[in-house]
Amino acid sequence: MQHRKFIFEDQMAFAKLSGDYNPMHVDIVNARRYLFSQPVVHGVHSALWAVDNFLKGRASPINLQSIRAVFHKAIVLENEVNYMLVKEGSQNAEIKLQSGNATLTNVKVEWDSTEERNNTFINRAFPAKASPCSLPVAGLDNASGELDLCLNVEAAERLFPNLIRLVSPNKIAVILATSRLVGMECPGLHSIYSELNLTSTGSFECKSLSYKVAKFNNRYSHVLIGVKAQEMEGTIKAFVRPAPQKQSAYLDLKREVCCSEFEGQQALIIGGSLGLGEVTAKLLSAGGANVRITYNRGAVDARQVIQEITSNGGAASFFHFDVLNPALFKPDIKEVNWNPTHLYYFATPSILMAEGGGFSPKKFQKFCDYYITGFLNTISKFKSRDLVGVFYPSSVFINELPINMGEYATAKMAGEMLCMYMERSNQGIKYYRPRLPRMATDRTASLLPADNKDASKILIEQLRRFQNS
Amino acid sequence: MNRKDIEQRVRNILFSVLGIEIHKINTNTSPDTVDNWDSINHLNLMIAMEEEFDVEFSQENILKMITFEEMCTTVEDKLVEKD
Repeated sequence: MQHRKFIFEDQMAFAKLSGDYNPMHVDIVNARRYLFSQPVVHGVHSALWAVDNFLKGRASPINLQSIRAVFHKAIVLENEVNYMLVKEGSQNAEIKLQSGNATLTNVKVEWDSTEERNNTFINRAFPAKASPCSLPVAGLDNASGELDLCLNVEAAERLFPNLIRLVSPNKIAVILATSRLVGMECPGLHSIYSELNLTSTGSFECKSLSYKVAKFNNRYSHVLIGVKAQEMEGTIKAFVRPAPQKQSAYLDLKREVCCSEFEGQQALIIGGSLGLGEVTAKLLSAGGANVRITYNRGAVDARQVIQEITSNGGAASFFHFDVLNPALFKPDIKEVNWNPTHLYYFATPSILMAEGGGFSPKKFQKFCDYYITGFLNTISKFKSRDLVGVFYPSSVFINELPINMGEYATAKMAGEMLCMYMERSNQGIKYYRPRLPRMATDRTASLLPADNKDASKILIEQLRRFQNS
Repeated sequence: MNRKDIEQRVRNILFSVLGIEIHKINTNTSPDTVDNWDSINHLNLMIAMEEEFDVEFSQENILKMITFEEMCTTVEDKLVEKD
């Protein structure tokens, strides 16, 4: 069995070749705000790699008649992907890419041995680098358009040497263009490519990929797109994924709290650049606290939060702190003489990473890295004689134990126990550990319908209880 | 359509969407036993089921249909409602 790990450089090479620069694939910072919380491999990249691998060792060209690729699960960078040839006939094959027992991508190809017509058209340029469109959902029903077909053969050869050697470059250009279509045009920015179905047409006239949405299912945010291009036509299935969650504005939150109710707090919010940490920072500041937030990768988001607070009269600043690498923390002079009285711990990995396939010790460990080790690192770094309270958000999932959330709930439970232990051994510091309901944040974003509570309403109540505990 | 027919069709959908071998599907087949059964594939399942049985699931149905048994029961109820 062959295997590989996709790395960030692969992402950039494929983005350049296909023109699919969707930030979900190529932007490490912004990808953390999308569904998978980290860059994921382009589905088409995985499918073409699978076919390329299959063709290794073959000598004679094939006339590709059809390709069906289903992108079952997102492929994250640096994770081992295993290639498995499921079926091989004289003119067809089925290939799976797997990780553990999970199928990531499934590809079926059919071909015949007739001679491929010698195609003259190849636009050897790279597709122009652009920003992805964000089509409004209302406009998806009638969306249609055209994309230029291009293939830089030299760059394609580096990624898919066997494919380029044996398959019509025009057909490869069509397959690549579907990635650009979904990631950049329709649905564009907030998309997830789910399935590709193309068959050979025998037509050689068209130099672009034309598309038209055949059906948009609003209830499931699911789009079926018909595509037609040189040599191939078929359908594409994609989902519209949720946009990053915008939290309440500081000025709105100011109306929810009394301007002095958190006065006197020197509040340190770990993971305050977005989500619950962001809302907490705004609420505390609006209530008179002196706030410092930390970020790990979201410097831009952290700066925006602080700017929003300070430009509206609040006292706040931010600095970098990675809970998993506390040794990297270099406090500047402002932090050296500033001791928190209250610490709020919102560092978390993606909660939805817990999906599928029973209890995974690996996923459990990942949660524990943040909820146990990272928490201990943080307390050890910022504990001072002034620290009187620690806010550790636990979860109602401990009580509800939803299916697939075993690793998360168990790690949070362990976190609660750790808080109890620390409270006993550290006299004078209160560890407040409310079991919070699911709230609307980037970390809880899902394609499935969910009863996400308004974060500000839940948090203000909890912050008051913590203050008075 | 009787329960047996429904079960057979749901098995076929689970096979085509999740790739589970049909003989391995039982009443307890769920996201806990199938690695590929994540949120995206759950939606793919729901779409395929709605098309197959010409019914429409509520949000509550969608969140509840996480075992083979529950999927068949929900479809059965929906078909009764339709009649």
